[in-house]
Amino acid sequence: MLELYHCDPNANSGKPMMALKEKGVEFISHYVNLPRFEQHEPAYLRVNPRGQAPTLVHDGVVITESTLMCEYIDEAFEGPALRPASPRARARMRAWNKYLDEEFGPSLSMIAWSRFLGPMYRNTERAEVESLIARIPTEERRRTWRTAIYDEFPAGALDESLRRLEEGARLLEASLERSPWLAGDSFSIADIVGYNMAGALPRLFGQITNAESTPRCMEWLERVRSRPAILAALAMDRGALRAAGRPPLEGSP
Amino acid sequence: MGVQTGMILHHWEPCGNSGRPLLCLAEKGLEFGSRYVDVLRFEQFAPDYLALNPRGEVPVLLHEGAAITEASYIEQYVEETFPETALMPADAVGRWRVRAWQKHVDEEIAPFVSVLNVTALRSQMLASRTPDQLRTEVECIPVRQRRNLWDTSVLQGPTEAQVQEARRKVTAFIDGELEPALRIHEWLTGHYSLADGAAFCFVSFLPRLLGDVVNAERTPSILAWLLRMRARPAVQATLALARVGNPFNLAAPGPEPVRWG
Repeated sequence: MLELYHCDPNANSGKPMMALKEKGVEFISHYVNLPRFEQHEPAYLRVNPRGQAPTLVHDGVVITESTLMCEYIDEAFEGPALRPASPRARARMRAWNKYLDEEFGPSLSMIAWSRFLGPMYRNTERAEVESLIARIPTEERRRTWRTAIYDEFPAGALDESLRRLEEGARLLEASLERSPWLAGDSFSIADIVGYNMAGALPRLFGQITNAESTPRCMEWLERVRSRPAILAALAMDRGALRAAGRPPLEGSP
Repeated sequence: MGVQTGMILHHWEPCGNSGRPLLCLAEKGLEFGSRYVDVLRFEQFAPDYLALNPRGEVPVLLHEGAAITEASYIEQYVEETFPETALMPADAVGRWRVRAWQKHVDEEIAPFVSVLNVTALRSQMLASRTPDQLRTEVECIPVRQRRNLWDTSVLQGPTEAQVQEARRKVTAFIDGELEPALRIHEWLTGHYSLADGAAFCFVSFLPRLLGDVVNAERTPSILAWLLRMRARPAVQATLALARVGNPFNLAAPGPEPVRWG
């Protein structure tokens, strides 16, 4: 039995949803409403004590970490390969994944929280926000959420994040000038991660990514978005993020 | 004599991220060309080296024209290219477990060991130069992110809040993940794997840096595992490559912690 606990098909939740659809693997979907903090409810913490989504449960084994989940999905199931065959191209795929997950994605997410998402929570009663934060299982995660909601980023961090988004757009463009997909000639997990981490770039940061300055990046996003499996995953959007007033495609912290 | 491979590894001391591929190659019995990069002399920022890795980080593996970066991916590259003497399980769940340990080492210990070690590093750096010389050298680092990291960690020194954060994060990892896992298994994923090597190269710093957390009373399973690791011939051969005495007295700044959360 294969079960996926996920929110809408973007950011970390989008990765395994798209990987499973690309692979053509059926799964039982459990929707976790992140804006309502359902990932911190006791029922979910029994599945994933870290209180993070997504979580994959395969025949009772709990698989976490969305990008590693995609490698797991590729290894555990039949279907089209989501990783290049050569170790060299795989190393390139993994380097992209790491960069997108650890540098690019958090930079985008930090600015998105500061500009768009934090203000929404700050319009809510402080006591209500604090009661939501109090349910988060670890002190580290509570600190992260407070930082995000109350815009307590260190001085200079937002400028540095913006600089990194510009650098990221340049790196993506340069890579896509050399090959149609991030890891080389074939679609791979790096493209899934890239779409989930950078897909919002043209809409939220049109001055950085647009048809004139980064044409290949724009074409690549469209190429990913028009794949039948990606469309099928996107069709699973239930609008929790939009309903909460959050523009889709930004990660939760 | 090991298997000839044509691989060249650019690395620093056999600890931290440089120790990981060295240990992986030794466990698999693979020959390689060793290129020592003296990180404290900033050789990782020399133009020739930046041509291999524009990020100015060690280690880098050169093989058949490709430059592979990041310790976790070098290890997996070596494993996929030379699968004999497997250091990853054959099944998908076991492989996911190894990768998850690698990721947790990368994110939850590696960045914080250098924060906790900065006082020792600073005195090491200042043994051969004046503070002004050190400042000038740091200001000349050509890679912006590396320059900022050396500036904030070595010139300015970590803030008390950063030291406390480092203590909290490493303690959470030790108490929440590493000690419980080693209470159950002799090795992190059952059989010896890349996960053990990755963790060893960073956890070996901790009895000294965080002795109130990692010690015989609080974490007996970790201490027993460190001894098991040191009994392995590949670990002994790797540690024998050290040029500075005990390599676990030295940690350069980096990697950068994941920027928030």
